[in-house]
Amino acid sequence: MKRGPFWFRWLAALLPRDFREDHLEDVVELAEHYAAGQSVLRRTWIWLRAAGDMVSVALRGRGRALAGGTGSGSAFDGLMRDVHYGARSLSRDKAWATFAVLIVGLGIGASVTVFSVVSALFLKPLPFESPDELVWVSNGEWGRGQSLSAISVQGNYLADIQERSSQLRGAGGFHLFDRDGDHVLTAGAGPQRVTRLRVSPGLFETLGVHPRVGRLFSAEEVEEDTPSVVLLTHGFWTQAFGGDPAIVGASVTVDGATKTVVGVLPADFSYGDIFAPGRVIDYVEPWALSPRNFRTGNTVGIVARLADGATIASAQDEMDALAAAREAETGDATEERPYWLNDFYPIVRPLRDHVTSGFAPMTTALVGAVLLVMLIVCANLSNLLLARGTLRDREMAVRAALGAARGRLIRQMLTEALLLSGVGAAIGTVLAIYGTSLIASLELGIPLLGLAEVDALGLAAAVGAAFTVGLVFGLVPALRASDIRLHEALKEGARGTSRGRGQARLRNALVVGEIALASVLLVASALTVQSLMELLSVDLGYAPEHVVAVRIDPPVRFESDQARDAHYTAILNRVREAPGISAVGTSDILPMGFNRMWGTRILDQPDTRISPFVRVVSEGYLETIGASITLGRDVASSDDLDSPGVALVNQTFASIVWPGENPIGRMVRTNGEREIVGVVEDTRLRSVDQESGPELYVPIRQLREHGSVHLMVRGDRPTEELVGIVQDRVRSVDGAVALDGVVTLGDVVDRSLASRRFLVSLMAGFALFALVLASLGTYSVISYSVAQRRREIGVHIALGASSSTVTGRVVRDTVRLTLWGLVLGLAAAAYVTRFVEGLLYQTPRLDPTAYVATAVVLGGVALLAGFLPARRAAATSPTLVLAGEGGGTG
Amino acid sequence: MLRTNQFHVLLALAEEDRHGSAIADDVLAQTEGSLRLWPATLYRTLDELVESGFIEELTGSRHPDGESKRRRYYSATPEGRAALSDTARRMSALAGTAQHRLGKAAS
Repeated sequence: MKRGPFWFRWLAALLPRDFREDHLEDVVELAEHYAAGQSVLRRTWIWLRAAGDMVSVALRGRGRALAGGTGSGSAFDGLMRDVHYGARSLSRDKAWATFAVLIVGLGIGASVTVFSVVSALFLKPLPFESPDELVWVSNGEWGRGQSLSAISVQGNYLADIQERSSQLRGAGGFHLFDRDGDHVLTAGAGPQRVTRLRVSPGLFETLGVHPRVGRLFSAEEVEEDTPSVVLLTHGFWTQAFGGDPAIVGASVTVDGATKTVVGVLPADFSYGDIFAPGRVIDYVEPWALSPRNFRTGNTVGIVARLADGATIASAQDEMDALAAAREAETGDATEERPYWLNDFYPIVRPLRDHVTSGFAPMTTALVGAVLLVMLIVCANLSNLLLARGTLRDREMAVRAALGAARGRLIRQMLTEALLLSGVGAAIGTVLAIYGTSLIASLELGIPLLGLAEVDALGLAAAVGAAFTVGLVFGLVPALRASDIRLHEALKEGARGTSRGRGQARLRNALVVGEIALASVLLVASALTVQSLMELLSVDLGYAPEHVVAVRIDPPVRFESDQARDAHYTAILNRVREAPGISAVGTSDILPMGFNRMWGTRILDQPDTRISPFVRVVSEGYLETIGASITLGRDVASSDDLDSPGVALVNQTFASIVWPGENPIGRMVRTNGEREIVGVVEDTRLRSVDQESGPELYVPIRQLREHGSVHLMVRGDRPTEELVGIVQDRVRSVDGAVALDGVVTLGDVVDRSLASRRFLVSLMAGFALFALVLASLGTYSVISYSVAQRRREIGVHIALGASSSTVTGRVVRDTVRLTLWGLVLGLAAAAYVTRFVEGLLYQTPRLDPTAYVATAVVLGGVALLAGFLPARRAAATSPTLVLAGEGGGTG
Repeated sequence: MLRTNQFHVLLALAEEDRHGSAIADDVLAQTEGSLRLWPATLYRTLDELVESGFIEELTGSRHPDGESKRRRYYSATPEGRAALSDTARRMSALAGTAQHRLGKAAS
């Protein structure tokens, strides 16, 4: 049995093989013995400590092996001596070393975490066969990203591609309109709501998916209009059937129909992670490319594989030609064209682009931010090493005097820097492993994020970062510290020498750099915070507070349309009568998620075709969510299949189709002819940051098929109470309904902003870290310069300078550094923020608020950091300083 | 002369045969919690002591009954006991010297 954290086992690879084979299990067992019953923090410390011990044992073992026994003088022995000496010298300065290791650890932890996310989204191959050949063919009819209906294609075009394309050697499609929990599957344990995914013939072959158990659909099965077979996803198979292979060949009941399970999909076929973040598919059914299915509108997302030698461009040309040919055969939107045929404006893009390109701006911003953080960490480490180097001038001078070569001293200093960054990297890697798995578990609606992990590439990045940081930023201080002019260093106080001045300049430059970098981060994070505030204050056109939604459609079909209407009317009435309830209504979809368009014709404008977003609603729905009707009337309970068709439109729809005219009484055709009876205020039902498109509201009782039904309830009671009331009342009408998935509309809107909140909190975290580092940097430099000038200050005070004069002089130094940093940083921010511009909502990237706030916060903190040493300087006692000088040369 | 870790491990085995974590626990107890032998160091030390012939691993029929075969038990050899007592004697002599000198300094 493998035990212990996996990274511990990875580290164990360092150990000599025979030792590992003999003892690894014992080592893990003893560490577990120590860790047993301890707090999480203490356990983590114990494992880290045990890992450190393992590394040191490994190094000693290797050292002996390389040096051929206990002989001395080998390069390795020298190195080991340096490491040993370095560790001892660092352990004398515990606080200093801990601080240095922590900032490197946090910096590397943040970097590796961001790197792992970027790697999952953009670097790692998609989990399909030869994923670089895969393309996504979408529809550009209404502009990308508008709605599922706009990116999806009518099935007949997929059949065309399969038959006629030479540039694409395989193509298949996902049906994009299956909704969560729309079906009920019964097997063994009883009925449960499940989520279906329909796939066209050729899809699995195109992707190169092989079943985990059993087989995929046969050629005959994929052509069935009413499928008799299903495939289970790996997740559902383990969850519902305990991963029992015997399920293959067994029958399950789906929505009352019996189907045979022919196989189980592999674990890495993760439709949700790749194509629909947050969704969990339970089973897959074939979707035939048949005339009946063609008529259901734009429904398919097409994945295809480039033929040998084909390119995106050649495939695009071929698709254009193919669509044009179909156009020529059927005529252009005129009478001979079948009424159900939609247009196809093909767009071919690499599959990965389709999946993640929308998230490139966000990841670019994060990568930029983490690079800035890393630079600040390096500047800080460099500063720390310089400060420490100065304090060790005497030690170095003595060692040089005793005959240590300069190279040896440099190596010693470098070893120390590498030791610091190495231990920092180890901490950072552990942080990154936890951080990445935390981020992967968040529901942010970002594809592939669920697959993010710290892999070998991430570890290599950590090691690389540690090496670079240690080497580059240890080298300058090492060269300086080893360049000892003996007589100068041995005299106390090397101030005033060219060496002292040069070093002070370098350290000042580092602080200016830190402040500048921190101000870039602060500005960027202030802008994202501001943008989130803007989004939170957007007028949605409805009021999501105090609204609870619960899905109420029963899994079985109603006997008749009348029975269905009576059922929903009864629920609406029962809930409406409850105390504390002010409005009730139903809608077939919740805001901020699933959406679809219906092609709609305007009867008095034969040339106009418009594709509004459609919602199937009951009376009271608009009032419940708090949207107002500006003209005409609401849907009525009498609007049913026996009465004339009606619909409401929103203001955008009205102004596109009938600009400046009264839309009431106009006729449209979509799912039958309908008279416009009302106009609704524009609402942001698709997303908070998108303006409303044209929308159409259709009465629920005037449709035979309408998918799910969500009951929406507005009330002035606390949410839990409201939920309780709704559940009681619904159950009093329908005792069997499964009332899972109760949500508040406020949460639904909030969740749609999750990825933005995530970005804002990361940016703010980075900015805060940068602020702390920059102020510590300032503090250490000013303190150091005050310590260096102690005698000068003492003399001034002895000659009668007041303490405010002394404080003022030191503070002036701080102000000078801070101003330089701010000017450079704000100028850089004005340029760099163009990379986050695309992420900002209603916030210009040069918005003065962000810049002023940054200057005030950073300036204030830096001044405070400089003020403390200044006060100490003012308290300098001239007698003590001058006495100290007398004894210093002795 | 034995090194510190070797001394404590041998001391743990002087009383009875023990396995790894029991040795570590005993060392912790001997030193009143001041010496915790981290796993890799402990097993490296055990290897060294086996190599020097001061301890041996109990195999076959000598493995204690009713204990998991996977657990390795160690036992001090006569050479190990001799080395331990030799070191103890020297430490005791050193402790005497130290006490003597400290006593002299105090008076």
